[in-house]
Amino acid sequence: MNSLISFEKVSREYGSGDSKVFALRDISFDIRKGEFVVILGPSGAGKSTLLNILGGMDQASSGRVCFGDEIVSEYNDSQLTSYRAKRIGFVFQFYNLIPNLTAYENVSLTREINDTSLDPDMTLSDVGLEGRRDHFPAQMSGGEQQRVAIARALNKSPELLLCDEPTGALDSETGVHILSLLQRLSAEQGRTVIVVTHNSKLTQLAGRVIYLRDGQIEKDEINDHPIDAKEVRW
Amino acid sequence: MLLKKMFRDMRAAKVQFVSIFILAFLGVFVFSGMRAQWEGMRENVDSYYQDTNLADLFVMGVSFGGEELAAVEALNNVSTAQLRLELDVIADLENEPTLRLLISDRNDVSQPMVVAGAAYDPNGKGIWLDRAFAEGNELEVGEVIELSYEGMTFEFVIEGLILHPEFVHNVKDAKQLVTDPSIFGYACLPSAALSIPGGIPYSHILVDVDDQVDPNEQKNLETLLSEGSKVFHVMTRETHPSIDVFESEIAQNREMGNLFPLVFFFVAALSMMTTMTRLVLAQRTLIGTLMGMGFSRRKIVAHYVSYGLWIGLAGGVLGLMTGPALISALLYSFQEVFYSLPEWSSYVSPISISSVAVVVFICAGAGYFACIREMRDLPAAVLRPKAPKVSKHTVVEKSKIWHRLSFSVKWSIRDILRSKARTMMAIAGVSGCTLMLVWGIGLYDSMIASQTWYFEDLQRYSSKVYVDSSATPEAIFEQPAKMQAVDERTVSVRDGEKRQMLPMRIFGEGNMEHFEDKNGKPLTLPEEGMLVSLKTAELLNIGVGDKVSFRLLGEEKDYESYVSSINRSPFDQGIVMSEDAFEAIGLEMNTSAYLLSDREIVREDAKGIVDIKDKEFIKDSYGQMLESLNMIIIVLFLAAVLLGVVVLYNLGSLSYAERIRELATLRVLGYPLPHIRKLLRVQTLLLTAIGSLAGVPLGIFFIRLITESISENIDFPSYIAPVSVILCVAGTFVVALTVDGLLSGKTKRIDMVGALKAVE
Repeated sequence: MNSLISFEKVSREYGSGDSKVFALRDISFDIRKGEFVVILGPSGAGKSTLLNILGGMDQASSGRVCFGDEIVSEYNDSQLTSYRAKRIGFVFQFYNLIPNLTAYENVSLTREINDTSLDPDMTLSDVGLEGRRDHFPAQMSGGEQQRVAIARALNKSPELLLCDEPTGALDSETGVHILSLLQRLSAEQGRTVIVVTHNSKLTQLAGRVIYLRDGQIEKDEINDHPIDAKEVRW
Repeated sequence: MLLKKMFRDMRAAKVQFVSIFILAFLGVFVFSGMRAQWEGMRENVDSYYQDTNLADLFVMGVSFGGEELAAVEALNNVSTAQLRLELDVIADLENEPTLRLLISDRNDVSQPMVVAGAAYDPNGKGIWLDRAFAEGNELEVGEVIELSYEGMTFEFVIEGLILHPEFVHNVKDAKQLVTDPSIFGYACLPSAALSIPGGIPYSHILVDVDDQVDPNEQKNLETLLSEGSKVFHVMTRETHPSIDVFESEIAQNREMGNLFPLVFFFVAALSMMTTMTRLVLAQRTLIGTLMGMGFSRRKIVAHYVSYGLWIGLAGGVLGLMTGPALISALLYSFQEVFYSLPEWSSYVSPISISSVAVVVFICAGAGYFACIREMRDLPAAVLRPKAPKVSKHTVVEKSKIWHRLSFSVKWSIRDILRSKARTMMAIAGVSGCTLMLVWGIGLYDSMIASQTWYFEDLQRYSSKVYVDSSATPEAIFEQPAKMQAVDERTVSVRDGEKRQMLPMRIFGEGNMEHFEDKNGKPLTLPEEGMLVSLKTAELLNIGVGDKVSFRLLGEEKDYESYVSSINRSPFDQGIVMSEDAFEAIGLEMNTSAYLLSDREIVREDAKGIVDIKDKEFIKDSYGQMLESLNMIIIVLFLAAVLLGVVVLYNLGSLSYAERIRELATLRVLGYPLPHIRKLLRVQTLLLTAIGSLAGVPLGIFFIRLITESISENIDFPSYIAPVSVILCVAGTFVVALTVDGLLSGKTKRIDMVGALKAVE
């Protein structure tokens, strides 16, 4: 089994006693290396909680989260920090670029914390932004900003690329470009990509779709024929 | 409703509003406190002079009698005049202090204020003694004091204890800095207590004029009285040593009181500005909503202005309630050592009260500007969040060093340039902190430097033996060669139309007293011509080579010499000549004291000695003054730390609040906490470096303002040791790092999940 991530009966609850609320209840799944996975669910399904646990920003209340051979659910705070720094590439819905750093400098942020960082110029040209190197976020379009964010995530050559509604703040045409870029990265570089979204259109693109509802997995489907992002109709 | 919103907003931005409150409070606290203190001194001393009918003019000369008095009283504009003899005698007490007798037959002008014992009786037979002198020497009303003058001894019963308006600064001469009953005191003695054949040769005529002193009056008196050759000099209140010293003390306090609070007002305005700008920006859409709901622009502006209004008012009123009482009490406790006044009370003038209005205006005004800047747009535009400010490549980045800077420094520089108001607030606050540290330590260093300069570099002797005219070196010393004779006298120097009474010292052979020029280079006593001290040269407006014409006490003949060099000394102003130069213009030296490095050479059976003073003794009283200065330094130190902490805490929490989203993003990307703290610290340290570097020259400038206003008779160069400057800058950094430590706990509470959400 060459699974990268495995969730074993993972629950996350908030509050205690009568006011206890389950955000996730006994979730189990495995994600293999190189998979392109879409996690889909309406708001309140537990997507964010799942994303937070996957991204090492939150811990499960019970159950086991493994990354490779390591048990992430037993990490302390500083181990989690280094887990985020070394293994996860994060792409945000609102890009979260540092406004007073240029595209190049935003991508270079990873070099401060990750020894295996790549050359930011290379990564920028991978996402097609070599001409925007010295521009500040405010001087770029939303799509360009998201591409900088993807470059920043890729620059530490992460084992997992975690995308939170990556197209949520973009118009459809730009969204297509971003998704196609993610698909290409998955296909060409063999990266594991997880996209968390509430947009069901995205399911057509992924090799695997996990449907989330009320904190539980409703369906876990393999899609043998994912289509190219450019062919998706919005 | 809006009032409720204001209080909730304030609670949300607690740190910022508390710091503005503290700054407003401190500004008014310091301003009204220092103002009430010097205005209190002003009021107290004015009513003291008024109540005791202090003389307006002091005519000085020799052997005045009824004839001269009548001539003065006959002058226009003169309401009363009174004769007085001033005589320095030795009291038969431990340390043999000098007692200055004020002998008079009336009690109309410059009256003593009796604080214990019988009322002053100008026809009495007893003596009324200076209270500080009596207390210091453990003398009480009813006891007998024995005095000696030129070999004669007298005894008087102490009838009462007094304060005298001409002895607010109760010292023998300009060289004595602090009241010291073991050195000097004064007493009032009715003429009737003495029986001198031929009457008392009065030395002063005290003149009380009707309204204000007419500038011509002084000249009239001089012309009128100089015909008899008995008048030596006419002194006004402005030139009276005690009155002048106290006036310059008030002036100094006024100077400090005006400068000091400026720092706080300025920083308060900047803090208010940054805080309100941030608040208004954060509530931009809310403002749009209010506008859309039909609130008038005026009403919304008034709402935001009211923040500053209430904060300024609360801080200001608290400052006004506490400042005058606390600061006056503190500073008076320090001044009571130096000056004797019947009352030390503070006076809260309308100007002190108006400082509350000033601080309210500053805070409200800052709120107003921050608010209208955002409201220029139409309601529809205001409803949308403001587009983020575009960062630009700045000039700094064009330089070559830019690329070598570490990432955190680059980021901090961009952030500093992006938020200019916040940056200015921080730099102003930090430089204010360094300024006050430099100011305090610099004053201390200047005092120490002057002490070393005067007592070690210039005075090379250890004891000074005062002698009378009968003494010869052989009769006093076993080895007469090891000492230097000095003749200390007062001369009247022509200054244009006027005359100035100035100290003159003539030195015999020897090397016990050294002299230095303006640049601190040693000067030898010239064989012809005279050394004139810098302050005296400035007073007379003369320079090297200029002629100086002077008269001796009681003589009418003019002697002339010239300035061969200008010298500097902290406490010895006036003219210095060598014996040779003095004889060259036809005068003879009349030794009044000997300077020696070894007290052992004084014969046991020496004759003609009036007094022996050890230098250490004088130095001690100087040390006493330094000790009381510590108080001022502590006040400045506390104010510096408080200002530094308030401003840097405000800066830290503002820049944290403004960058919270960026910091949270970095946390998600995997930046460890220490790394994030470092990012925040780099900015604090950069601003601290800039601020403290600006604070050093400002502090030195402030020291100079104070030292230059000290007194006519004291030449007090401002000085700060390089190591002190380093200490002050280091101290500022310690404050910065401490505050940074206090703030670092905040980084633990960064909400990573919040970073994923949309910008509000």
